[in-house]
Amino acid sequence: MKIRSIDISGIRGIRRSPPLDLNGSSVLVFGENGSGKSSLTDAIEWYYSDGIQHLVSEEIESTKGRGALRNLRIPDEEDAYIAIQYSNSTLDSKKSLDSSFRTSDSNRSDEFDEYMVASESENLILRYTDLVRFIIAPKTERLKTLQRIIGFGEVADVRDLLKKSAGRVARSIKSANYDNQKNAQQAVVLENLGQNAYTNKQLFAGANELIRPLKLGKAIKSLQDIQEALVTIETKEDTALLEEISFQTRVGERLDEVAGNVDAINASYQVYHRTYTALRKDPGKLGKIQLLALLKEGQSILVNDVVQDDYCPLCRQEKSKIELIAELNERVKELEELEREKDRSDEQGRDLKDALGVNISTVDELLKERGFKEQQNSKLADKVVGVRTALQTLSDELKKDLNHETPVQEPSKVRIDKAGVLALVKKAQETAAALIQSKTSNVQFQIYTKLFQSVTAYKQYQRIDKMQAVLTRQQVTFEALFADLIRRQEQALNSFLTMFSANINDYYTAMNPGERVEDINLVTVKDKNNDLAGISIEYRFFDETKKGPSAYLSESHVNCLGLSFFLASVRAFNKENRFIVLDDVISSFDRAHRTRFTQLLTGEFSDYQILLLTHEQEFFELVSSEVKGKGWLIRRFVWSEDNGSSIEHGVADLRERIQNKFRDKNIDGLGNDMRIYTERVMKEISNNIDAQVAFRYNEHNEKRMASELLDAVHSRVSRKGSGLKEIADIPRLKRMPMFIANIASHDSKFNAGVEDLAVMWEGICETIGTFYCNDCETIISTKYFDSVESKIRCKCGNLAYDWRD
Amino acid sequence: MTDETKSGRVVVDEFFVGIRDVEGVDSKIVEKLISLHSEKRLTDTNIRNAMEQLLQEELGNIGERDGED
Repeated sequence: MKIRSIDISGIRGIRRSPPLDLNGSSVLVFGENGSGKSSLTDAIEWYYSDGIQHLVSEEIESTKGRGALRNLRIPDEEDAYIAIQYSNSTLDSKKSLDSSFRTSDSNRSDEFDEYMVASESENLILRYTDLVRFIIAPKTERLKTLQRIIGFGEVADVRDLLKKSAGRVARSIKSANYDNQKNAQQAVVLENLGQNAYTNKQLFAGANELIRPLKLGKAIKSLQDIQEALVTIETKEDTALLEEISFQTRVGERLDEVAGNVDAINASYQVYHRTYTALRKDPGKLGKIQLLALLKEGQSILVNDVVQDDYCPLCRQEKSKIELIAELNERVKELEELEREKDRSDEQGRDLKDALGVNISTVDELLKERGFKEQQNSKLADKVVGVRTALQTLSDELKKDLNHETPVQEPSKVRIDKAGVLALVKKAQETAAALIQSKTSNVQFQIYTKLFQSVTAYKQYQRIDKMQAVLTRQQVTFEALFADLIRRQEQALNSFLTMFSANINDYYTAMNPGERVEDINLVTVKDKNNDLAGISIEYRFFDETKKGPSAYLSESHVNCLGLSFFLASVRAFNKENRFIVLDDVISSFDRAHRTRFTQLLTGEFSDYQILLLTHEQEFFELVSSEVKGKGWLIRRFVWSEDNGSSIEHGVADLRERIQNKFRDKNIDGLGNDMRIYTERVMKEISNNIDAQVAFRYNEHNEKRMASELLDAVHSRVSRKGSGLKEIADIPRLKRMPMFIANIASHDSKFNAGVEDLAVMWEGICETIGTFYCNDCETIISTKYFDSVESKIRCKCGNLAYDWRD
Repeated sequence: MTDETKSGRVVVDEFFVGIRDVEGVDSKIVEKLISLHSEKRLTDTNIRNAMEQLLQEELGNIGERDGED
């Protein structure tokens, strides 16, 4: 998708502006600082994301920057808007913002919605302030950023579900302690059957042995046979006794289960108490953990360039932002380690609470037994309630967080008395046995009771065994699936990172050839649990592998890396859109890097529509010259009282504008236009014929005046070009009023009539025409020097002059 | 995204295509997960309910054969 035109009104600095007609072409936009050029970028960002990142900080309210979006001078009844027409016209849309900051899109088709959703994950805009965001971000943030862009959020969702499910099942198995429950049931089987029964065969063998004295005449071969045998030998008159025996048996069983968990509970509490006490001993540590959120917010503020200058936003001391972020990353790392320690303590507490919960439920269920209402069991009831209270006390201790006014109690003070619980178990078992023994004379009753208790415990054992097996299968399955998905995710991510790193490397090297930074690689980092924890940036620096670009590379090189990352992201992720907006991204680059960056754009990215914005005259001219003949448009942003910022045809079309002014007899600013035009062309001629001008730094270089350039060209052709000096007649130009000026008068006006200006324009064109070939549309250059005939030529050779010392 | 790069959705879809072949997994659990994924109902609550349902089915099926050697 490319852009045909952009029409903006009432957004940021733009009050009214003619549409920027592009028809899919790339465009170079020049605008001095304050001309409102970035209003174009802001409008496009708002169009696609419904907010403007760098404006959010200017507003406390959460309008995502919309409050600062409307131009203050447009009337309330007028909507601010940006309308974009695309190569696919069905997606053309106009996004408006009314005076109540309500937004609306004119295109409400599903296709447009789909396009906008797809565009969300694409990299369309890069500003100077965003250049290094990815590079200086913490490794976890880099992983998140890339995973989000690749669309790995979906993988993370499934992965988290699997992990959560595996963890939940594992906790459930651990807290239930099924082995202990099974042992309690087997103890009942052993007590009544005289042997353990883990299988039907063992149960039937024991049952047959038990009923032998009754001579029932039928051997037990199935669970159904046991049921039938029980019905046969049941004696109705002993129901109450049988109930009491069952009650006592269940008390023994349940409390035996609890007793089997007591050691583990006491040991876990001891570990929890140790971790809790260590964390609580150093209150500073806890305070620091609370700072973590603040520091992470600080990280985000710096990385997202909410603070744009080099100072600490908290203490306001001057400090390099990159250094500040590196320091913050280090502190966040330390605190995350502390936080993990606290998480461990919380996890220990959670596990223990789960285990206590299971045992409390067991006791609660037991206390519902009717047998406890019998007078003879009231003391037993009190003791069982005592067990529950002990469990609950321990559980309540776990509710105290690390900041609680009193710490959790010493383990010795809240230890569960296992011996006491076992004594209750023994007592219940003995009572049941005694009750059975009370009917010694009644063999049938004794056998009935033992068979009944055995088969009940055996069935319970089977149920617990099955539950354990099913849950274990669930745990194993979820863990295996989690591992498989992690493997697939890593494979996909590594394959992507290999391709992505190669592109970053290519772009970086193209902008920095022959420099000792090589093999830039994005590498996955794992944590102690072997989980993906982040992405680090590695590279070879003077043949040594280094991590962290900020430590070794200069600011402009870090910026270059950021630019390479953005361009690689465009290549990798932009599927819908074939345009990008680059807003003042080269500020820290020297001329050589700027040239190579421009060549990278016009070469490697010639299939993209590039909206390149700059406030730097020198870069503007450099790119203007580089893109000539490559179908780029040149525009500039101007500011006027009436319209605010607006887009108009730029310097490259100056010649046409001058001619139009002559046609319209409009002399407003005509002299200045002629001067600017001459300066631009003379700069190119100076460059082409190696005319020497005094050295100046970049920021002053772009302010060279026409008179200085005319002198340099005149001096050069006087020495080299026999004939050219006379034809060009540069002194004629130097006498013109617009060139008799100093730097302060750059924009000064002089009074001349249209006829005078026409004569001057004719002279300028004649002079420039001596250097310019109309056939190949190039200026003569030492690049095309003919060493045989000692002539300086244009590209096609049709224009040539002697060029000798 | 370029063709060589697998999107998250592709990774997840491929995972569910190959899920039956993952070593050591229980086929009933896997079928439940495939079904939830294809119905776009793969959430924590639905997984928990599905696993509870499987557990209860297994417990309900305890019979003579469960105690066999």
